Amino acid sequence: MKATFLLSFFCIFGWTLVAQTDPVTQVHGGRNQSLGNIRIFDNSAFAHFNNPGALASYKVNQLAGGYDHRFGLAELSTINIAGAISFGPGVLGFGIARSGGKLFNQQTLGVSYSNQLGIVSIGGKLEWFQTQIEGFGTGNSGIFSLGGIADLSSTFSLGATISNLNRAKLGRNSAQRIPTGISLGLNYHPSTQLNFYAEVEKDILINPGYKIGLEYELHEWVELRTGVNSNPGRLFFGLGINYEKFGLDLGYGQVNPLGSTTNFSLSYDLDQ
Amino acid sequence: MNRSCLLFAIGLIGSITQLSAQTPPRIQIDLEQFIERLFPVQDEALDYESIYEVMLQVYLNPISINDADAEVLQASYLLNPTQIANLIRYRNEYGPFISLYELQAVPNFDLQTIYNLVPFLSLGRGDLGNTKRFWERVHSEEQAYLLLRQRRTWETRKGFTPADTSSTGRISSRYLGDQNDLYVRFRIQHSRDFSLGLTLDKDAGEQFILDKKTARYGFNFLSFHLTRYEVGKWKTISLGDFQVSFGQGLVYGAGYGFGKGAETISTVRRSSVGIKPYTAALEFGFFRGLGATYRYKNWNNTWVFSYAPRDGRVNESIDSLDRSDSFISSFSESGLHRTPSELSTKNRLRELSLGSNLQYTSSNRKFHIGGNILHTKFDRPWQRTATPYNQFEFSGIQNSIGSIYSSYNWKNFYLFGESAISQSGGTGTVLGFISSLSKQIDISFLWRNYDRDFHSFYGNAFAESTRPINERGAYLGIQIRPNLKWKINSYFDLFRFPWLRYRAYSPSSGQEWLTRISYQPNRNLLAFFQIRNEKKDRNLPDSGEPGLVYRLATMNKTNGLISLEFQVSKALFIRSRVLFSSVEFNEVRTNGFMILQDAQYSFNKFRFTGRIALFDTDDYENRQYTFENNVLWTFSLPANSGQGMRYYLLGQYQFNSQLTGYFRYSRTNYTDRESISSGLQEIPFPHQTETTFLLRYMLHR
Repeated sequence: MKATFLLSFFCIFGWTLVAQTDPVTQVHGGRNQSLGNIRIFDNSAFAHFNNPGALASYKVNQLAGGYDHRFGLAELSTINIAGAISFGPGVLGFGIARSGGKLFNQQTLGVSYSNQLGIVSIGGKLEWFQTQIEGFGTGNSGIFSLGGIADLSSTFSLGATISNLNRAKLGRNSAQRIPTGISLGLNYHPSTQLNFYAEVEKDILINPGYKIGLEYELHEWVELRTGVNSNPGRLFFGLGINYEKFGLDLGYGQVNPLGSTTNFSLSYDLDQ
Repeated sequence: MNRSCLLFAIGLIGSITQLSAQTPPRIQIDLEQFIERLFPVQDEALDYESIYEVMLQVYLNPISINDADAEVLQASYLLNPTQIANLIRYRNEYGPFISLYELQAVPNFDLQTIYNLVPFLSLGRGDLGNTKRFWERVHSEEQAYLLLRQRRTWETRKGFTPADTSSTGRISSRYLGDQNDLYVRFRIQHSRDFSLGLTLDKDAGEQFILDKKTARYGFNFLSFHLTRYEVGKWKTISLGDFQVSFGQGLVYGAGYGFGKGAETISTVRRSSVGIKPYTAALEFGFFRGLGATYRYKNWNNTWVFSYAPRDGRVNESIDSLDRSDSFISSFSESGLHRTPSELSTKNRLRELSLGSNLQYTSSNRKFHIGGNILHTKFDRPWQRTATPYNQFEFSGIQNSIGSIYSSYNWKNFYLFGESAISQSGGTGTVLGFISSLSKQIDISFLWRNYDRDFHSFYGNAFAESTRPINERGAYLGIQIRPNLKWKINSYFDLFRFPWLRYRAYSPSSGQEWLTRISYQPNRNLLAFFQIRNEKKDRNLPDSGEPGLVYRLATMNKTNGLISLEFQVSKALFIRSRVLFSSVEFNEVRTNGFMILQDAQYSFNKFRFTGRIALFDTDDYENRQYTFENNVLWTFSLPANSGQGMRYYLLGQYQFNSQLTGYFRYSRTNYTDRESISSGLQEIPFPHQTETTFLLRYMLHR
């Protein structure tokens, strides 16, 4: 009982201090993080984490891995690996991620499946989520998430995700629930070089946050990105380099008064 | 430029050159209305009088489209980087413009842009008329006018009542002069040839007196300039009052204080407009002396020599038995000299400024690089009253500041930057770009870093604070035009103040964002919605407990605006607006609200403009700023707070081609107070009435 109490205390503390650093709620991948944590429209294998519904929409066929480092604290960093294999109308994705340090860490392992139906692609994800606190034990839970994208015209798309639909708890002995978040967003791409994203995200416990992201293809293989979040106010910049099958994404974020975050990810496109 | 565009352009040029080589008739625009369209949302942070002055200068000295470089085109704030690049490329490819109608052939120039731009353009140097002698040209110039303005508040302020004696027997202070506010302006100018002007000003409460000791010759403020353009190799020679702007405004930026506003892209970047005559009646922030720019091939060299009187308080400190030093304790920028105490600050100091600029422009007009240097010396040292937050501010008798700047037009990106260092060792840097990423989306980005000991007296760079000091931040702006009818503008600014500031006694940070959505289905109708939010740290009120240090809390301010403008017919224009705000600080939330209706009706030689507005705000933090129409070339942007009603009526009548008269009556009735304002400005009634009368006489028309 005492352990449970302490565990939930630790988690509430953790939530308020480092909201969105756990591998379930945070946005993965250098590209989407530097777009201002845009979650819905992800054309990489990290869509497995961000929005399983995007995998079929972008016909992702890729392996990717990334690392992200926050405010100079190793304890707040995340490492992740994701993959997506497309066959026919569907895409199968998988991913593994770990964040935290030795004393407190969380990891997730999951599979997802996405399918394209006309203008709409829908996907679901099942994952096993573990929270570990040294000296207090381990909590395990299963999480189910959904997401989708609808291409309304050649320049305009809408999308949505719901993560942790089943409102899983941190563990059997904990009353603390893992955050459930809903995101709605749009993508406007007036030219092939340019993507504009806007998203609103509501986590049950946190005030809604607004996100804007902009991606510009400066050159065939160079992409510039920037993004803004409203709650808390954050500014992001990123660079993407795609050379043949290889991709490198670098990102930098600034939040006052905490400091800066940096991240990078690598990807390799698989043969169709 | 894609091929079909190019072909289309060539085709058009063909037809245009065949048609005729004419210029559209010079459009007489209503500049006030124009600026309001350009900056429809008023903000205390923007100096509208300066903006007005700049636009007036551009309008009266139209940009020569055949030799303007990117720097100059940018200064009109009407073109985006792609349009500027296209225009220059078009000119380089097809030679000089033969007609302004040819603008339609430049890629990415839509009709709305051209309509907005044409009043500020001319075809070139052609019409200088240099056959006549200079003074003959001055004498016969059409652009010559005399303005007379009188303004008065009809309720008697406390400062105008007879003085009373306090219990200690001291006679209380009162204003020396009468209640009239008088303003005279005389100006003769010809685009790219010369400008000659005189501005005289007397504020309410100031004396109309001849007093050599305080340098008052009738009017309290006197400003004069004589500027000549294009005299041999001299681009500009200016005598009298002038302002200088080069680079991003870290060293020379006076008077062109754009920044954050509803125009989220073009106003972020400053332009090197060089020397401009100073004609406003603000009694600070200009040079007085001689300024000149010499042009040699692609190089421009500017020199500034200024010896100007400044207002300020001089204190004597007696630090030893036989020596007493005098020093400046504070500068006064209000320009008001109504009481003996205010008058005692007038022209107490002398400021000597020596400065220079060297600028290189590449032959293709896409690259600029330059350096600035400015040395300022006072006739006695400046020592502020010491507080923890101002301990890195300037103190001493002289300051030097130097900078290098550059701008480069690369593809659809416009990159710019300036870095400066002041005598203290403090540095200031601005880096940024504006870009048209596609036909629909433009973005701007600006990063700045000003040290807490960066001292620039004439700097006016992009900043959240009023001056570029003690600040670091990043600004990101975007404009989306999905089609011709809709426009979305938005910016986000994240900033930090590494040292203490006034009312924030700890390093602090903040953020601000704005979004405006405008809908303009045709030229006659404009509707928009705008919302702005700012979070900034400020001291909590003193809890009264001894020994406690000041603590900071975040002030969360939201301002919203809904507006509808409609040109009903050629004669009738209406505007409706709703403004609202809320401020949250220290767990207390207050609100403000204002609603207004405008109408403008013109017939024959008359024009009438009127407004009725109701406002209701919980406190001064929720004050509502609204632009008001005023007599010609006069700006008013009053802050309305409290509860009450405000209305005005403005009439304009054109007597003949030379003489135009304006009359304005405005009144505010408060329902929540018995008296307005405080101190000598106090009015013992719940209402305030003001009239303004203006005559403009065109000398040769």
